[in-house]
Amino acid sequence: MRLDHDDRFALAAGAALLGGQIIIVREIGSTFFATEITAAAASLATVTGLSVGYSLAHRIDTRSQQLWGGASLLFLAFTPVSIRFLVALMSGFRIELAAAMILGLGVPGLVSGWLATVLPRLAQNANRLPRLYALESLGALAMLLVFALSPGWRWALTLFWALLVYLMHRMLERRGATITAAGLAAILAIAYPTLDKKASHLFFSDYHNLHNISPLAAVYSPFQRIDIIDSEEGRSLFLDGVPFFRTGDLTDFNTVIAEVPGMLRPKHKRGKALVVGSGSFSSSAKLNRLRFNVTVVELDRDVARLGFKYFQKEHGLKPGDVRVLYGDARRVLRELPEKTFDLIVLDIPAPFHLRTAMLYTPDFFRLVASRLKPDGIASLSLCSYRWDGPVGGAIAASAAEAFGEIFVTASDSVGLSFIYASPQRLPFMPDEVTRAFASLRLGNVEIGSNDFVRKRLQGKKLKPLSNRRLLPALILARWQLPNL
Amino acid sequence: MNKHIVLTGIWLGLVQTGLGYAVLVGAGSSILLFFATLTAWIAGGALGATLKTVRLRPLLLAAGIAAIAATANLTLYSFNPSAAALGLAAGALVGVFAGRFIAFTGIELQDARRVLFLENNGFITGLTLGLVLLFVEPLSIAAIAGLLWAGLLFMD
Repeated sequence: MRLDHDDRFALAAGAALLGGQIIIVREIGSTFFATEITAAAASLATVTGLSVGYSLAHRIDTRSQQLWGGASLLFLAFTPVSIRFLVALMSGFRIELAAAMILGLGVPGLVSGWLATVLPRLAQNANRLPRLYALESLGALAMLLVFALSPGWRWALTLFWALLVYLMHRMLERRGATITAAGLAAILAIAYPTLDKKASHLFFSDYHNLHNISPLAAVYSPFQRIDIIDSEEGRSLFLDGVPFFRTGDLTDFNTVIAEVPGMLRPKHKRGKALVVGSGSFSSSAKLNRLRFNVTVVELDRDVARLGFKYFQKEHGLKPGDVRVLYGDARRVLRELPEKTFDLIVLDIPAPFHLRTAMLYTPDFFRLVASRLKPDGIASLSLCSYRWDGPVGGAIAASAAEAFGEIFVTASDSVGLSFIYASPQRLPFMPDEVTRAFASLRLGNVEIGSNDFVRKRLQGKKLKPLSNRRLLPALILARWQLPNL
Repeated sequence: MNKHIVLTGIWLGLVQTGLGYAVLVGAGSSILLFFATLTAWIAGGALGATLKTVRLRPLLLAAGIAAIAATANLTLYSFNPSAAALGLAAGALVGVFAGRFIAFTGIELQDARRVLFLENNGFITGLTLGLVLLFVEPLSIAAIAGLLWAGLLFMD
């Protein structure tokens, strides 16, 4: 099949449309607003832009289309680094939401709008539409495969920049413009690591108020952006721009979620422990030190790899000390035998994403209960200090539905509440939890016993999270929870 | 004809939202699965645009049945190996229908811009409606998409 000028233009436009969407969703998500809602909003903005483009396709002259195209390609070229710069700069003026609005208007107004003018203008003879539409789709498919199969984010970006140069060349057919675009693309491709580092530096210092920053690693995994940052405040692990672990102030979190329930398990019953979510490996290390045989379930191989490498001083584990299984916890747990574990720790991020919100539903907690021994312990965070508030209460209600006995512990030092639960009966009393907190110098703790918690949840008519009301939970989590 | 194009766009938007959510909940957060679903839909679209002799109505019938079967399977038998496969097949078939519909209607009306514009406006409406319904009751997406599908099957 021979491709003519128009065919190649349609192919490239399709590739740029999908590539641009992937980059924009990823950059916005990994900077300051990481939820599926962001992805949906960006997709909606993109398709809205298509209608703008279709509407104007025959109403603008070639010169205007070229100007519009130039602005779009420039916008796309800088997107991989500019969003973090923009958010950091605007956060200095406390108007970072304006950055979101600029992007929200920029995407439909510029990029997808312009790309949508390409197809109708090429298919003025409607009989050519099937071929051009198919080629545009194939271009999108090719770009999807580039991002899915490329060995790294930078490789995919370099190919994307090359594509933008080709589009500029096709659009203007002026040697000077092509050479300028190629030069700019080459500079971006070469300087990307430096620019990304500078953008991150600005973002973490201005937006997250960290001091004397030294970025150690920044990786785009298939699921999220992972940053490891050294600063005066300690070494931190950020997932999609949200702090997940920090040495010092967040260390108590792992003590409460893993070490306390581990200690409360009688020594002769410390057999197998399962930790869902590796993070910095601090939870698994604490259980390893308590002589549990630890298995970790992690969705993202890169989080496990970087967490193990950069928090070695924190966890002190050697390779092979804990077993790591990769995959969605809902699938992995199903494949593990029933009544196996003495302790299951759910060290997972707050329900900011659908994929994590599904790990706070009664369905998932029932799965956890089924993998515990009858007197085994499940430990989880309520992601909020208020355990009877909208988010904490919904998670507590989910746990109450799935487990036979639950205690709530509201920890002052962590600023969060936790649940210790068992399929039948917990192998300790509330006052033993208080003593464990005191022995670990964790400060004040309030314990809610099984009956007390259940009565409060019923009295407040708090409903559990379920697969049918996850989206409202995401919104609530985003607005009501601290950035944990 | 304009109404038909917009309603088809709405149906496609609803199916994409509903099927995407069903795959996420019923087959897991696998990036491979996400890319596979998107690939199936886009590849289906490319293939559908090049089909010259296949009629639209049987294709719509097949795409609708596949979407219903996949959503039901993903909801009732989460993490069953067949659930993800059926989800992908449904995505591909709906994509084939979408590609064929745009190509066929564009030639029929001899106006590519109008077809793309109307179909996309419908798609935006379907996507927005689907997102709103995800907040209320995700299963209602399937119900509304099903009704719309039945209506499109009997539309001239």
